[in-house]
Amino acid sequence: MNSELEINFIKELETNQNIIHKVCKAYTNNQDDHNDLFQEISIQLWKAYDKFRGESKFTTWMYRVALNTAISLYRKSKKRIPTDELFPNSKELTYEEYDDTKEKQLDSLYQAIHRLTDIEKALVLLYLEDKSYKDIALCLGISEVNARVKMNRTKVKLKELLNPI
Amino acid sequence: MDSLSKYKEVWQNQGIENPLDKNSLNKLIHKRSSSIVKWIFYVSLFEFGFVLLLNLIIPTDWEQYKTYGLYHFMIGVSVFGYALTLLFIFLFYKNYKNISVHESTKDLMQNILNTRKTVKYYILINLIFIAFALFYSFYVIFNSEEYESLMTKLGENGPILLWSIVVFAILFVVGIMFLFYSLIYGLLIKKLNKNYKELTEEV
Repeated sequence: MNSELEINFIKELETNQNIIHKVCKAYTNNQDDHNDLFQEISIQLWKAYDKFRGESKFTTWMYRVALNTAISLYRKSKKRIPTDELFPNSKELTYEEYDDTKEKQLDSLYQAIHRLTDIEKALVLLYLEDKSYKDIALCLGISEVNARVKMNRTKVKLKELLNPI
Repeated sequence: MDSLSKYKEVWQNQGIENPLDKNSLNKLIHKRSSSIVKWIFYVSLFEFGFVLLLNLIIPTDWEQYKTYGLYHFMIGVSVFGYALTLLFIFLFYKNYKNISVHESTKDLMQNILNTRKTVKYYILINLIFIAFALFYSFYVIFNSEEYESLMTKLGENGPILLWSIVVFAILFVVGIMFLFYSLIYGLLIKKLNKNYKELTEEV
């Protein structure tokens, strides 16, 4: 049953699974939903794998499929839980001595991302991965100019969420 | 420097808490997908099966239709009804096959919204068709010889009363079906409209 195609795919998937995990973490609020979305993205990737022609980098293609699945094909649409409920200790952090560890930065980044819309999340994720505007525009299907404008707005929003006044 | 740039490094170097091994990944990709489009297709198939089953369980009394002169009309209705449903199942299947995750997000959503449009037409045509079939059937029945005496018995306001009941009943049936459709298909595609609007919002 294990064709060469499947073996290759699983190898690529194992190496690059962090991409899917990042998308899942950005688009879901709990472990169950995370696992569900992870599965759906993996299935969609596998279904589309034979059509992957290598025109773009594998990771860029993976991002596109993962984001498309999270934005439009994923069936679950649960109510968003406010991040305060998710991270009950987040307010207390401000009373602690400021510790700029990478882990904390990552935590606050995810908290901020959770407050963005589905499309803004996609923009931010692609920005954080250092994708070019050309790639971002291609991935989302909008013009490069539009991608820049949307990105600037989203970055402003993200900054506000990360550093509330 | 962009104050967000410092987050890039953290983002790109984040580790995974529970990485999956090849075996688990292999199992995972062979599970069933739960994507919206697939479910729209399945729901339409299920509905077709349900109508078919209903027609098998409740035998059609063709002789009765013959006495009212509705025989040919009902045959036409049945053939047209099945042809319509099959056509739409084919369209749903085509939509389902056309949707490709590796095109751009906007194209993908446009395709899904096209599926939604197909669903909308499916519902609309079905409802109009049912309302027309019922209305016409009652019209023929009320004008048949058997009902002529009843109409005379009911007096002057009889036909108006009878038609009011019929129209109300038809509207009720169509209303219930509309709610049923809106609930099932509406739930499946609720989120998409918002996302699509967000994506295409003009500068």
